[in-house]
Amino acid sequence: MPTPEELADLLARCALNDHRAFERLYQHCSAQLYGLVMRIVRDEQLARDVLQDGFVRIWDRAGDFRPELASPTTWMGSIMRNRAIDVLRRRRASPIVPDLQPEELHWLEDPTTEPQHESVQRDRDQRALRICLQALNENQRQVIALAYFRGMTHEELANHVGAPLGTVKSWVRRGLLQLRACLNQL
Amino acid sequence: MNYDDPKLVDLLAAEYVLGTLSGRARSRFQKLASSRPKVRDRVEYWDQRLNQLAQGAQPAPPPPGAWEQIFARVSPLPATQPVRSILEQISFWRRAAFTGGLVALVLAVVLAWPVAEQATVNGEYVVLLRDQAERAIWTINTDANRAMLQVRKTGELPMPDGMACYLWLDMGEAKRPELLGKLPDAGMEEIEVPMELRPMLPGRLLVSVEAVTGPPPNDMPRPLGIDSEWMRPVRGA
Repeated sequence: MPTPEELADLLARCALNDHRAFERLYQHCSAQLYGLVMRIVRDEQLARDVLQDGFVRIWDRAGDFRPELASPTTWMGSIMRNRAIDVLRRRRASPIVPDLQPEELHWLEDPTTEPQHESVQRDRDQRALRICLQALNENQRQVIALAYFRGMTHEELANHVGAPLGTVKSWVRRGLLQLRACLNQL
Repeated sequence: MNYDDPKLVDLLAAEYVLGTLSGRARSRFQKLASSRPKVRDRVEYWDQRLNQLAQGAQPAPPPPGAWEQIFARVSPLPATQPVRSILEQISFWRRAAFTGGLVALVLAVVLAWPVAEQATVNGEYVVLLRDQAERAIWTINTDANRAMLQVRKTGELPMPDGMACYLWLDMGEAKRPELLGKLPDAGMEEIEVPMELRPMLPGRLLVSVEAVTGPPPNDMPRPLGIDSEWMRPVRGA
């Protein structure tokens, strides 16, 4: 895996219309991003469409990337996740949304799992997020993870976990407030 | 809602990034973020924090053919043609543009005439050639008659072996730009502007990647995403 600086350089070259740089970016990042998209949409055809739309958006918006604000993988992951959630929401004809599988939160729950080594600061951020998510109660962690990975709204969360809407809103908000307080301490 | 309350704004930003802020509340918050830098800062904070969750996903090989479909959407090349190099892509454009080249050249001279009339004010300029991240890759100083361009490399632009950047003067849409010369890969070089083009400056400059030996005559260059900004130098008293 190239360093964040190398990926940032490839993005800068994409902004200059360099298709070769775009191909290299795809070669380096597509497996990680496809894994993320599959985790969210859990459907190969949908994931393929999202991956394509996401990479086209990365190409179109490469000039907007600011390395001082986010790592290249975080930035590209954010684009893929947003696209995946857009697609999920449009296609949510079925009320049945697959529950989070145990392996999906394995990364959060296994303290021996090493974060991706992007930079010292970002490794620290990943560890901090993991520690702080583990510190939430199970309901809070579940609704935050479902909202993040499944793109669920408050109402969908309430239906999914079978709790009143107000209770679910409270879990989300308190969970986020607790997360912020914890992150600020670490 | 009191959008001056930092705790409320922070919570809204977190829910916005998480995705649980929806409907009209989401639209209102987007408008708020577009007009208040402090709100945008909070969105960026949560964007960085929560999107660390994505880093835990296990990599999975994308399906075969995905790249070809992506490439077909961002490239004007035929979808079945795999990407090889900048050089091959440029060659495609040259072939595509060749048939209209001569007609375009004649039209360019005719149609650019009014532009020339508007740009006959004498004076020196500084021109910044910026990439899309607003970095000045080259800085150009002109003399009073725009006869000579002193071009200095002032930023980084990775370049494949055997390739170089060339400077062109835009002659308008669908017309072949006029080649001015090769841009320095480092340091400073001078480019002499042909006599007939001097009245057309200041004008929009383009940069393309070509073989070091130079672009073939008559072929249409494929400009990089670099903009030219003409400025009057500031004089001391």
